[in-house]
Amino acid sequence: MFFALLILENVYTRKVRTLLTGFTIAVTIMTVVAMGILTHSLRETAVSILRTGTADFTIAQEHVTDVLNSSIDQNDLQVIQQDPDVKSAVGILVEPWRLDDDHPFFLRIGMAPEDTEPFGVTLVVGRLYAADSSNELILGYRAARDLDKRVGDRLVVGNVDYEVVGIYSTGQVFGDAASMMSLVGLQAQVRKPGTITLAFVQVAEGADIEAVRARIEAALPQLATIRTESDFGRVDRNLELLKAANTGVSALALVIGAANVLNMMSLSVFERTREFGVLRSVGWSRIRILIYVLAEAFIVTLAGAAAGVALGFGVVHFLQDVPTLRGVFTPTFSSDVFTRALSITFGMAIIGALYPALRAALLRPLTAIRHE
Amino acid sequence: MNDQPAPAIETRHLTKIFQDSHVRAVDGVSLEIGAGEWVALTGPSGSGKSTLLHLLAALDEPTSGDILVNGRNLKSYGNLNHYRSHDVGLIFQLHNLLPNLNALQNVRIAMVGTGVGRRESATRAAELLASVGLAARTKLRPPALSGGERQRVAIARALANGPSILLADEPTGSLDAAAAESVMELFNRIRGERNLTILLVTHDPLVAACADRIIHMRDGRLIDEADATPAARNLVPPWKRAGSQGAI
Repeated sequence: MFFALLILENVYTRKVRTLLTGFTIAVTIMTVVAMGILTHSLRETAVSILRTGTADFTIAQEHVTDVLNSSIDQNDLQVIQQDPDVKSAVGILVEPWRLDDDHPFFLRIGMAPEDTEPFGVTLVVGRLYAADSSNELILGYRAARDLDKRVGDRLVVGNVDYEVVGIYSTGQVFGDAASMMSLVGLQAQVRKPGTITLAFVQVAEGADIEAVRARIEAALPQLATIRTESDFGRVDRNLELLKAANTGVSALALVIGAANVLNMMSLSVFERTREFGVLRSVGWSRIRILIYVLAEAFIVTLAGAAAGVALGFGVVHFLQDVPTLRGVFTPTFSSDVFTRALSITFGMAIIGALYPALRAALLRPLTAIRHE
Repeated sequence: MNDQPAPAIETRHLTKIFQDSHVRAVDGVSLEIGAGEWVALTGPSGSGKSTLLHLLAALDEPTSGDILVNGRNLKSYGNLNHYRSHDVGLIFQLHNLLPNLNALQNVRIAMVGTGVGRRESATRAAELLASVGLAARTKLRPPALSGGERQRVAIARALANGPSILLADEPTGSLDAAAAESVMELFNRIRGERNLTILLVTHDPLVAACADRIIHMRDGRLIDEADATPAARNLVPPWKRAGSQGAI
């Protein structure tokens, strides 16, 4: 107990150094947490659109930078539908549009009205648009709330003045912040006749899903089937790059944090060389000295990390309101992010403090006592 | 069969050669110090007296020879930490207190890892500080204490785990005459109370005169008392002077 108090006393005595090191660690961990939550949330949001409805898997064009840039020929959809084990295949066209500064990424989803139910769309109020309509749409409830629109209101998107004929819910953030309209109407408006962005496939009961996927990919090699989150990288390289950047930031954070801890503890051990000599002369073991120094580093690092996590939450909260991310980015606080932050914290403390702690522990008592 | 108790400290042909300078700081020293004896180790600078003390405190390793403490060879200790914490108490010239800890904490650090409980260590440290006359100064940090008071804290720390031997390296070297005299009186008292064996390195003849026996060193070797300066033999310790109360 007294040993623990001694460690705390040392941290408290060197307030300025502790605060500066803690601050650096806090900023580092804040970056890791914010970047981690941002990446995870963006991935979750993007992946969620591929999971909408009751489909067994989703199909997109392979190796595009962004899943929304996927372009599938509607004839390919017919090839897919002809597979004997495919129960249904629904094609949608997704087109982003900049409504205004607050809604820079407003999505229009073109879909045949009869496909909305299998896609997982629940009409909350109003009616569906007509199959060949060019000026009717339904709004996700989040979008309707955000845009303050009700059934019967009008919404200008691009150069089309749409009538809001219904409000829907999908249970997915991405879908609920978007709008849906006639597939044919949207294809005509964006001049992409016969083109869809994604296809959602449901296989017949008892069929081998992997076998169906393999057949589709063999028949249409330009397409990729996505069933799990890990498949997502095949159709969206942006998120993979973001994930890689996140890993890079974490590695960099570890190096920066460890360097700071190393700097602080090296200086501390150097300044306190005589102290370690005295402690050894009164019978402290090398292991105790090692723990003494490591524990001090851990306290400063953990305190900094705790502040960093809090700051990370603050940054995420702030990012939520950034116009370019509104409606696209809804924070999801994954335990992976905190596990990573905690691992980096311990990594920083161990890598940064081990050398100074070993140096302190291995000092010869007499040499240490004579240190000026 | 020899029923005589083993000497508190015994060295046999103890030698320390510094590898970098090839200096024989301690050159074949053999000595015996009986239990409860107070010995002053004197000699000119560089004579090897501090090196000898450091070897006895297990702060340094001898090049050759043996050190036996209460009959046990230091080479037989698997772990010298216990020896440093329990068998000997060490006092330095510059007290070597930790400046960020108060007097009580400075004494308690010697009890860390010895199995002494938190309350007991606090109680024992307070009692030790009271016994060296610092009952009212326990919460003060070293910068707030006088030189003599700091040395008393160092003495209390050296006694924390009840060693039978006190090794002091110039304990009055940084003190004025009055403080030095007071510290010597304290040494005399605690020796009586605890039956301590004291080996004290000093340059000061007056301090040396407080000891039961004076050992002289020169060039790393013990020399005959007759060859040493006679000054110390004519001096009288403070507690033997007329009018002294023998207490602090």
